Amino acid sequence: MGYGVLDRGRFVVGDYVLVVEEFDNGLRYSRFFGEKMAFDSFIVGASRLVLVPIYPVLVPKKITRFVLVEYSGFVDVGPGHSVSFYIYVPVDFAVYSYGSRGYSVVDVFEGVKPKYAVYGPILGLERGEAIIARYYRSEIYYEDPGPRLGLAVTRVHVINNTDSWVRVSRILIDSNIATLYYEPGSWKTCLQELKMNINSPTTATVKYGEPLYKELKKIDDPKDLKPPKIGSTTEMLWGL
Amino acid sequence: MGPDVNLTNMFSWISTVNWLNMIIAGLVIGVGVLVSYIVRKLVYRVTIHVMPPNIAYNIARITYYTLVILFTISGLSLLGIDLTGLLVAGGLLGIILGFALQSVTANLVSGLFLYWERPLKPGDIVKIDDYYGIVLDISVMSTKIKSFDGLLIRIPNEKVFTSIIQNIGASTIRRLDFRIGIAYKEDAGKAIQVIRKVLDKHPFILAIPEPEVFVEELGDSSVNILVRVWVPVTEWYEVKKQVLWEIKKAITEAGIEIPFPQHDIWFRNRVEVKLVK
Repeated sequence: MGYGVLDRGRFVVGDYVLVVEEFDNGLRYSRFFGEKMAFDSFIVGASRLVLVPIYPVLVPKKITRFVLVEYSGFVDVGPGHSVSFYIYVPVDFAVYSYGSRGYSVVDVFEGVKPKYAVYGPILGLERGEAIIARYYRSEIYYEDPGPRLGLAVTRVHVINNTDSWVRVSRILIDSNIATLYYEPGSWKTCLQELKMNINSPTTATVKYGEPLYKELKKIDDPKDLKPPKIGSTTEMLWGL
Repeated sequence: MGPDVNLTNMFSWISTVNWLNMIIAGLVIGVGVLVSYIVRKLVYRVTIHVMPPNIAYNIARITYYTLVILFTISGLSLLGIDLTGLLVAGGLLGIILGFALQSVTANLVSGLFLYWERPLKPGDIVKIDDYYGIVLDISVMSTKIKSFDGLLIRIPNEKVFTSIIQNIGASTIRRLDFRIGIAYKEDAGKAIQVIRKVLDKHPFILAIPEPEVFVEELGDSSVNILVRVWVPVTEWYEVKKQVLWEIKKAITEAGIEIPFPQHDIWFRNRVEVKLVK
């Protein structure tokens, strides 16, 4: 099992079982959690259903566009030095229906247990508004850790442009700018490589580079999910 | 021969007119109207950035008419026309109108200050005095909110301005507190673990800031555990509805007793109980 076309039948994806059946002039798609039906839809006008990874900002509902990945340890970078490592970024699953006139998102469900967190000031005198972000805690890997269900791999390149030592423990990713890539038939998923330029001991700019694995297929972005891009970087203003 | 006399009078009047003053007065009024028009446009362009269009338009219009009146008075005074009576009458009229429109003016000025200070904006969830609801509109005279039981409430701006406003939607996140009482015989550490598991399962109970769960008080009938969690402000109500019951279920499933208030009564003297059949 992996991403790709869902033919008629049953498919186990994590804690869920997806069932695709034919009915009169269309398809019936159902998602079960154990014995309980969690989602059910009758789809008319679709030629096929496709399971793809999706940005982890839609489950249980969309309240943010940001993803905050906290590392299991710290990365201390000396002045003028840089370091690269791999991390996992959570992804959710989406089932798309494709017809002769485009596509639509039928269902979205979690890849890993969804949890949210705040990035930014909570109390105190700092000005500015905190950001809600989908939260995930990832190990740091110095070699590609390989595909894993509900997770995408990316490489983070940290560059310390300051004159002092900097301790890095997290990265903020904007799903409006990030792009997901997947390999049909497997759970292999990746993001663009992320370049974290440290501007001060508490601020950094995250740039989005080329996809980590160039051979993977880019997902079709849901039409109403991504507004036109205004910038192509993410500013981390509230700590590293 | 009357018309001849009138014409003569007219010519004599024309000869007495100070044409230079007349031209200067005309220029003052004309240029004044032009300047007022330009100022009106400028005021509109500046205020439109900080307040709604209708307010900006009205402020620009008031500015325009005030300037036109001032330039006209200046122009007429150059011609030697005594405007003292007019000014006195205007002053009296202003005082009368001021008293009559006191509340209207107060609301108007409060509305302007509300626009300036922006303690709330349409879409915010607010509590103004005892009224809870979503702000629909802030107009010149009043603020309209829709309460959670579906009522449309119009609050005069003066009242809004002088009230304590709780703007619940102004922050990204909000804290929720729960108090859970467990029996004295129970293990509080185990109860805290059970509660933490429930909190960990809920996606909108934020991981950062981390939830706080601790024994807050040794109460009369129970050991009271305080649960403090932060949630996105948009999800506050949903989380509040779900979590307390989830905690209760989990605690019961773990075999931890949630006690009722109870009193042990000790009698100082021996008490005899007589059973009557």
